[in-house]
Amino acid sequence: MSGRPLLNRRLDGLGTTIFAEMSALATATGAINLGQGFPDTDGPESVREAAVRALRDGRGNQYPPGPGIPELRQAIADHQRRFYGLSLDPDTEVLVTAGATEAIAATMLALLEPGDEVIAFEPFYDSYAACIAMAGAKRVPLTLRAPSFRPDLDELRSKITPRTRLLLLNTPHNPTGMVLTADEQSTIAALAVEHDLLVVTDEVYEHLVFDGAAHVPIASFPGMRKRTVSISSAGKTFSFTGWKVGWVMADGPLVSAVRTAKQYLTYVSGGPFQYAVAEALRLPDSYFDGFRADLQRKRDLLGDGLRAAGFDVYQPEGTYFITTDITSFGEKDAYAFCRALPERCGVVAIPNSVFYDDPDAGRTQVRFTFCKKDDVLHEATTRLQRLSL
Amino acid sequence: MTPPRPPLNRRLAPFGTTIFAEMSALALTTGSINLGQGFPDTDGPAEIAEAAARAVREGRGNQYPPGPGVPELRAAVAEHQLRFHGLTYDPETEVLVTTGATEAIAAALLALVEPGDEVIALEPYYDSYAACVAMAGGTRVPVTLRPGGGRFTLDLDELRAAVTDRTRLLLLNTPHNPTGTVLTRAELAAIAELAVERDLLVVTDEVYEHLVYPTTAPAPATPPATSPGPAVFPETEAAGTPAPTPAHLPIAGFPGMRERTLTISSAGKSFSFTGWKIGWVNPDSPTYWVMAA
Repeated sequence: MSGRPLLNRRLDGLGTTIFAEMSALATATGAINLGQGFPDTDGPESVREAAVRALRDGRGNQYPPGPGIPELRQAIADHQRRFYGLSLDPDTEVLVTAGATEAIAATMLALLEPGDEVIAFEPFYDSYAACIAMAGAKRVPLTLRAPSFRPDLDELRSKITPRTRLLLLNTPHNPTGMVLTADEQSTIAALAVEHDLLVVTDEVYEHLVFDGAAHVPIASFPGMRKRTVSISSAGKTFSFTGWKVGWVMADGPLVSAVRTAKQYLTYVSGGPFQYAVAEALRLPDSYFDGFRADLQRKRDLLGDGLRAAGFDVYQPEGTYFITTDITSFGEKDAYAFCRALPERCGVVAIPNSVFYDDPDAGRTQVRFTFCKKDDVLHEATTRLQRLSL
Repeated sequence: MTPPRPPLNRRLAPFGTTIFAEMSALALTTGSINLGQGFPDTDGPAEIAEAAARAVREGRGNQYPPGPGVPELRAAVAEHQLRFHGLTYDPETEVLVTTGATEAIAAALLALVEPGDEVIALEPYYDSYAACVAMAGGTRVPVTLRPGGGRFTLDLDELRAAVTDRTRLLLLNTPHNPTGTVLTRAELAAIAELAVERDLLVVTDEVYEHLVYPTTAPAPATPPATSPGPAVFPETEAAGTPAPTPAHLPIAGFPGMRERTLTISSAGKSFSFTGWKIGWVNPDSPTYWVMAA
């Protein structure tokens, strides 16, 4: 075929995700994969059995309703009331999606015009950049800087222009583990109201906030209800990342706009799993508390091991991930370090530098996940000790 | 307080609610029999439902599967294409699993179309085609299938005339929803020749590949324009005699087409599990060109 490249210009440079590259490296070398954030232990048996029942009883085996099955939409609304005191109309303010990934894609493809600007925290989850690009919009990064990775809200203010359409938030934040405080969210909310911006917030790690802190949805701040699109999913909270059941919560007109794009991206998905997630969202508090405590323990287990191996560890307040700095090893390039790591000691990690527009800002940062079995985390940190030998 | 702009952008503004959502809602409120939307009211084979239940119980696929799909499914798709259509695809680099054919179409168009490109699609078309072309910033150019000879027919001259220097791809759909037309060998050969001549990509939606029917009814002498009969293949079959079992022919099998064709299909229609949304794309290698969406 002659002529132009197959992939269009907007997606140029977004060819293969770092996860595909590093997971292939893990497979090829037999290394322990602490790169991609998916658990090696499935979620609760009762939730799994709910999916089996749905499959066998023929619930969800054919197209579910476009917005999601009513049982799940109701369960999502109930979850928001139970944990955050937010009230949502399950019929008009909740939309079920193929994971948070589709929710983000549909939201960007619906709300953005070519030429719009989107301010997003950097480092960012790679699909943000791709979805903004597909919508023809421009991303404007707000860099979160080590060691605290807290956003500079004066800098945020200075980046808002008449072309800014929306703020894309992510809290708890992947990959840094930063969790926005109520004060920070209040300031961001005030900026959004002042400049009449939409806010899209990815809150998939909402139940993984550690050390007694709490996740507060920005939708609960004054003036935000009508301008916020909140996105979450079942994958991280219930340890069934393969089911890809996510959801969008917003004021009716916003949900309706997002649904317009969503219905043409996948139409619907995950029929039987929607029934299982509806049950999962109603699990007792003991599940959510136990899950969080378990992951906090794993965070500490991996963090201690990484420190012992010689990494500088940035303590995450939430998520599945620990970001480290490799300068202490005399290393200067996270990408080169991660490519060599499987050969050097049989562990795969992800270079945060690929999540920055400004690669220098994350040049020496490497991310590890701790959503793995204890013995896997022990073995990985034992192997990483070799770096200092 | 209210943003001055409507939430939905201009490209998607005409695509509010699908007709299926509207009509299905009407079915519910009136208690009507819903022959509107194409999903079976009987699930597919029990052993397939059990295979899914087993995978869930045994923890296969409960966490992120590989981006291109599980190797077992990619190998099965490649074997299927060989078994039914004699087409060879490398499961490692030429099979990509998607969330149904819908996502495959969206990903293909969002990856391949630049703003300003023209996409030729057979009209009437499945509603997601138009929306995806719009999301990609492309312009859709319809070529209308018109009733004639007992079927909806593609006018190849009209198709040829629709191709311009801005045409990026032809979006085909055979067996065709909603008309039931199955493109014949001669039609596909002509389309393929045109695609090669004008260096066009072809995206072909073949989700009804296993639903092509023989015709035993006599073809009406003067077919009423409003009641298309079932597809006839080959089209030279004499009226009144049973036709041989017709076949779906993937355009990827025609000369010069393999490297310019993305073939899309799915499990929903073939196995009566539309709610699972498992689809796939067979592009020429490398597959990554449609992976971004």
